[in-house]
Amino acid sequence: MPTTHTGLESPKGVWWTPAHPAEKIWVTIAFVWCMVLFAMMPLWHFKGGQNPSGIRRKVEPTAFFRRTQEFIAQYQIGQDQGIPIVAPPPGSDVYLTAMSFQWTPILQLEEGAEYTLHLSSLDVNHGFNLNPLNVNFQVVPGYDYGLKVQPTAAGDFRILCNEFCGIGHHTMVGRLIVVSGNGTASSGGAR
Amino acid sequence: MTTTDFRTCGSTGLKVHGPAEALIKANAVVSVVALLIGAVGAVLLVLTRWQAVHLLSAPWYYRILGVHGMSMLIFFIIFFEMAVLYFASTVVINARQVMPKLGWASFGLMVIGAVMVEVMMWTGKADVLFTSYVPLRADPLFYLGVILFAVGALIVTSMFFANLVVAKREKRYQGSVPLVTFGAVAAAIIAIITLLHGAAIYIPTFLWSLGLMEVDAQIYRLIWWGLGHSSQQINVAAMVAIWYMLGALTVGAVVVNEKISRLAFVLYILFISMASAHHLLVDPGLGPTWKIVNTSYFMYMAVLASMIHGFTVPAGMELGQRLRGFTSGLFEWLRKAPWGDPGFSSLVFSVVVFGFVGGITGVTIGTEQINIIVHNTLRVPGHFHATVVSGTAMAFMGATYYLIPLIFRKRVAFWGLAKIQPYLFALGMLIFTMSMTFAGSFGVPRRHWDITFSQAPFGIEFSPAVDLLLGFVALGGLLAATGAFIFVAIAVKSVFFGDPLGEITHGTAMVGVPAGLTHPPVHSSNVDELNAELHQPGRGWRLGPAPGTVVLVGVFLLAFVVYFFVNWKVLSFVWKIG
Amino acid sequence: MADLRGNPAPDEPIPLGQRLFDNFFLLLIAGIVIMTVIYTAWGLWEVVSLPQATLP
Repeated sequence: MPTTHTGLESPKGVWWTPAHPAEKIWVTIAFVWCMVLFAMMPLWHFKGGQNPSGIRRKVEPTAFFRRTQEFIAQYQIGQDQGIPIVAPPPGSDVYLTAMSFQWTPILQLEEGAEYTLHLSSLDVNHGFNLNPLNVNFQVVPGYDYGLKVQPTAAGDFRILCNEFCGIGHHTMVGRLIVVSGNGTASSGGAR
Repeated sequence: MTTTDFRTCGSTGLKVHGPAEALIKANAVVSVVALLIGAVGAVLLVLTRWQAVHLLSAPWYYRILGVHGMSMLIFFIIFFEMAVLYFASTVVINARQVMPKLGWASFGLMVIGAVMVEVMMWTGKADVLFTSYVPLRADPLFYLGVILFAVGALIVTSMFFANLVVAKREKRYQGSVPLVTFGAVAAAIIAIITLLHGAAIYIPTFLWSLGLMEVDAQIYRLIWWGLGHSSQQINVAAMVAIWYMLGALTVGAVVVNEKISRLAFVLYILFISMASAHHLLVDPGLGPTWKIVNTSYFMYMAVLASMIHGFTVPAGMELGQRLRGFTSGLFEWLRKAPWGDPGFSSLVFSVVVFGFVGGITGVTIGTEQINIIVHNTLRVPGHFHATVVSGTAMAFMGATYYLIPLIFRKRVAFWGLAKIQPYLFALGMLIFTMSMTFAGSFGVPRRHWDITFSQAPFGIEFSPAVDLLLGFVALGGLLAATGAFIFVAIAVKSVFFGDPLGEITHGTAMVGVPAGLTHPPVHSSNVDELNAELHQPGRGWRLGPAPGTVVLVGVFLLAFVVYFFVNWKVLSFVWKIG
Repeated sequence: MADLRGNPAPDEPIPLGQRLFDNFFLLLIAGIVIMTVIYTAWGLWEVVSLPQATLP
């Protein structure tokens, strides 16, 4: 083996030498762990329940907002604080527009039903955070993120913005209701 | 270039080139000024997110957040890294600095750029945070300042390579460059990758801010993070190089195997930068295959590299100690190590907190799907304060305790405080990062002024645990900031008002001089025999020449496995999403 | 710490791996190319080739 030396000294001659068995074992174990780390992602992609794949498209922000307004007009059942509440049927495409500083509309979804949730922004980047579940997605102007979602429990949820979008960023809170099979929203979320 | 431009260091025997030394000093000093600005910002920020205090108004919170990010992640760290690059390509290999005047011009460019950026931010003309995501718009001078800074840094990085070419030609060293310099090469290469992406994004964005072109929001994020995250990987490579250096200086750490350690740096060079994808895992513009390949640093090869250093750095230290007689049991080498040497304690805390807290959380939250429960929550800054602050900054502080006597040739001021500063800083950061990470797991957002949502149309109530955790974030942050202010005070006093250091006497403790210099960890003349003996196979349960390290990495791996799979379990509880 | 010491054995052939690792410009090019292809170019292609939304 080469002469004993520190990291501040130039190694003499050939330093491309075999490692000690203990080191080889650690590198092997680390390599195997890295393969496990890597394998988890494709595995979860095919077998797991949560993936950020979605149906992803480019979109003109105003076109997306217009579509959202059509969607609201089609399914509105009420309003809260001036924001329309909409109840789309299971299996449908639902639209949520983020804009400084609100989320529109308030979606009322059914527990266990599947929807394609389209997220986009009218202006700047926003961050979709479903509270208190803690589901997070980036909402980018010019892009339609169509996530296939299936609510797992009824509740009265909040959507908060977690991407800085201007001075009113911390006032940007939306609402999302999930009703159970018999049509009631149990107190799974906040007020 | 004459021989009179060099002085010979009394402690290390290395030849120090005067013009190189001057550039090292200038960049180190400015880096500490930036650290001070960033640390002041840190105090203001934690006292704002601690809702009971809520110090800053909303506009000032977001403003100072940007100042803190820029000052720490760009100015403090990169100026210090310029010093490291100058040091590693001259002092460490007894070489001269090529074209020092160009170094000064670049320094000037970087300072001008930094001042422009700071002024724009402080005067409210760049309330766009460190990431400046388009379409948030800042004053054109903000972007121009960043560009000037980046150009200066690119020139210095190129001069680093020029130094190495000239040093080889002038046969300033035999064989290969030392491992510490090789680590700096890795850092420099990643810096070039980083700065090329920086140019690619800031030039168009500057033009956009003048109304001259369009910039797509998703493309901005893609290219910006090619600068933003890669710059943190410069920090990783530089930090590891400093680990090898401090190990050598404090405990005579030996290189266990050059091939393996250099392989790890090469894996960084090839694969670490693509993990910029960590920030784009829940973005609409990129697909799953791209996300999985990139976020995994290409099948986790760069994580393999970190796990290699995670072994070779402590193993080298353990071996360095064992070869000097600390052979009893598994951990005498650690127990009897120079814990009163702030260079050593900084080194250890840097390795441990970076590895256990920073590394494990980082790989986990950078997993494509787990990121769904993490993105833009406090888990993100919780993670990166454990890596870049408790890891890189801590290592840089440790190196400074040797920089002051060796390059500035002054005694370290406030020596009693200096010895405990790393403990204070590490403890503060540990409380800070763990509390922040835990708060993030409740979904608490990052970059957010008010989680009571007092001005929002719909109320949200977080668990009362969150208020407690944010209180601890403040406590940890204030403790760490105190450690940072102490460090700044020590650096300023030592450099500008400190006692000049003459000859270092060996064998007696000296005030303001770390133990690695007064009691240098010299190896005996038969060290090669001793080393060969330790490497003998068939040593039974002793697991090779560094058994203590084997135990430590075993604990690390266990923690990693548990943390990783717990997160998958937590992910499985949320909505089905695809 | 000890001072730098003398020369390597003059006839020892340097293995290819060692020579590759000593070639900083090769490492620089490899680092830039791999990142540019796998992260930047592929990423740009992904974004730019996204189809237009039909907003069903």
